[in-house]
Amino acid sequence: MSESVLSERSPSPTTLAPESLKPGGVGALPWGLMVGSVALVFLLELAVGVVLIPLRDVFSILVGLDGAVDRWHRIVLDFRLPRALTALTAGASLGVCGLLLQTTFRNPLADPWFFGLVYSARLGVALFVVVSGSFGGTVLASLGLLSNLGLAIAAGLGALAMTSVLLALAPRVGAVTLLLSGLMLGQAANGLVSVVMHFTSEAQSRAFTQWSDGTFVHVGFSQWGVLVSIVALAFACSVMLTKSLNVLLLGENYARTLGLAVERTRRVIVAVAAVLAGAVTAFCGPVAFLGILAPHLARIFFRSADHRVLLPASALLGAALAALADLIVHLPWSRHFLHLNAMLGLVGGPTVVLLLLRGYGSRESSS
Amino acid sequence: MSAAAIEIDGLTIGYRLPRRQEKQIASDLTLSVGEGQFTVLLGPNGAGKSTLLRTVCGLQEPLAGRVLLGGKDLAEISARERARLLGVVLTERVDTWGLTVWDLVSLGRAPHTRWSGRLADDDEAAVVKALSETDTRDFAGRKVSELSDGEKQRVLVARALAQEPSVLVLDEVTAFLDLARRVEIMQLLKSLAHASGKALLLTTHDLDLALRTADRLWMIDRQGQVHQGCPEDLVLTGTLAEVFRHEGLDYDPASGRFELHLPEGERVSVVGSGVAAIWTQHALERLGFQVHRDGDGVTDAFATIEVDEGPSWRLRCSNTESAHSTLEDLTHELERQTGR
Repeated sequence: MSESVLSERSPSPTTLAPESLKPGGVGALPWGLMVGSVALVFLLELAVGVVLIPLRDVFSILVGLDGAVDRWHRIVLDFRLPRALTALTAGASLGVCGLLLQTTFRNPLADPWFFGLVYSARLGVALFVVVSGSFGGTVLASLGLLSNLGLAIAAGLGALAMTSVLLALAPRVGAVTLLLSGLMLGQAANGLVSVVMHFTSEAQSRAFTQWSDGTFVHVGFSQWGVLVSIVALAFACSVMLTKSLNVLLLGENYARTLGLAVERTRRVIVAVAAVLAGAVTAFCGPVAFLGILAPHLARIFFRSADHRVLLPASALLGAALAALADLIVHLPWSRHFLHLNAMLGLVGGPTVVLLLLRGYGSRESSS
Repeated sequence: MSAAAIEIDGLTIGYRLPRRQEKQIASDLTLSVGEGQFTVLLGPNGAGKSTLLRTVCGLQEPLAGRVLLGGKDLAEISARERARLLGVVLTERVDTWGLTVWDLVSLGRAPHTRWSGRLADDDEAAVVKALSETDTRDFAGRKVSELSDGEKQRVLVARALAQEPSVLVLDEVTAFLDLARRVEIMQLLKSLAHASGKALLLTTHDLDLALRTADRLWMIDRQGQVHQGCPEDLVLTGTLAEVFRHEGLDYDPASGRFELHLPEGERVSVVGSGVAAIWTQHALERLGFQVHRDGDGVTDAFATIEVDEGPSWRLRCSNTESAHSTLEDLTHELERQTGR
């Protein structure tokens, strides 16, 4: 539409071009930057470790060309590739999970780890291990794919139990109280995990304690396949929920007057969040802070509150952060004492304090 | 009389309590708002204004009876269809998480858009129209959190308008606004109702403004009775005075003002005319004196005050006489004389 039409105040508003009022959407550049940095961190994950492999060789190994040192093939394809893919998938999953929780609970401090989802998911897994173990110790091993799926489902159910408790609690308490309740209930769930472990065989409990701290190391290709399928499915559900998530930003009553079935929608959203948190926890253990960091960075970076932007942005930022943290853990340090959650805590801890200081905690958790 | 956009038919409002008990606030209401009518719901605090409004919006279930919007029973239509008929502005704060004005107003299109919430051309046109009608176009790109209270309220009205409803319901729309903004938003809403033919129903604490702007009033009293009519009729029948009498407010139909109940004070006669005399009466009444203007033939007045242009005042009291150059000075002397 021409400039002259826009400059005068037309009596008929419908003739005005909406483009003149609509804030410009997110341009291609930020998205390009974001995807580029994810790709860069991913490649560095493959190249960097105790053995440094030139990026050129990483490429040729990935596309199946000969020429690289034979030993490097195994390092890249068998060790680093599944770890890097898991980091990206888990990071994206937790980023989206955090965003879903923050919007549904109208609580900027919501996060699968703070809300105890991660530990209740572990409890689900522990119960699954004990129950399947009671049918004979070899059941788990022999089932293969099915047992991986079972782990993920058990973890998802565990997380779902916690979100249900918090959803019931949310209308009665403030944002910080809810956060602390989740944190404490999570610790209680973690305590129950130890109790449950008491009833397992030594081999089982050893396997379990292996991932008492979050890590992307122990996930093989078959497990990653299960993880990425579940996460992809949950992402698809999240995309379907975009409009509802945006409407929920206005609060419960406004959402209702806009025709949204608020209670049902909330239950669906937290179920999706529970699946995302459960799947990651089942395979990677308790990973902290990504769920709170990714959505807030997405809001800052894209200066938007629209979930059509925030969903993919939280996924990309979560993926990049997870892979970056994992990369730092696996740098060729002379002594190995860095853990994934320690790295995430270094950034995540101060960020949460900053959010609290900026007054986010004093907001109502639910309208 | 235009067709009814809101019809309330035998409606009982209130709350359901545990064990099948009910707390009724008002029962068997029959009311209506016509198309293009600007109707204000008035009543003392706690009489049930918000409950009635929430029931009309479908945010609360009626205990009995029906609410019809454009002839459709609220209980029988889907939430989405209701959202296309009815736009709402509530008192609750909108925590906007960095939403822009455009984003917020666009959310009003939710009942019309498909699953993704993407705005089609006619959706965008509706948003632009809503922004124009509320004069909020200029800050479409700004963050909602950066707006003043008055601007924010207009943006919330725009959001409701973007729904393209035939009925608009607004709760306490003038709360937190200064006088100029209150007048501005009431005028805006009134002209919206008249120009677009939408039915508007709103509550406000601002009685004076409501009486001056409303096409019709619904007045809810403490007994749960709702009286409807044009403001002037409700004044002349004494309904308005009756509803607020129990709140310690006297409505004076002659002056069109609410007066506080004050103890009956001494009689004072004011002699003089012009603006100075009017404000002299104002000051004396504020302090609780019974004021008689000159020519009333009052013989037993405690004091007589002569007002001169200038202005200056002469106070004659039993056997003393004094001159004053300010009303404050005058009233201090008068209060000293009465021994207050």
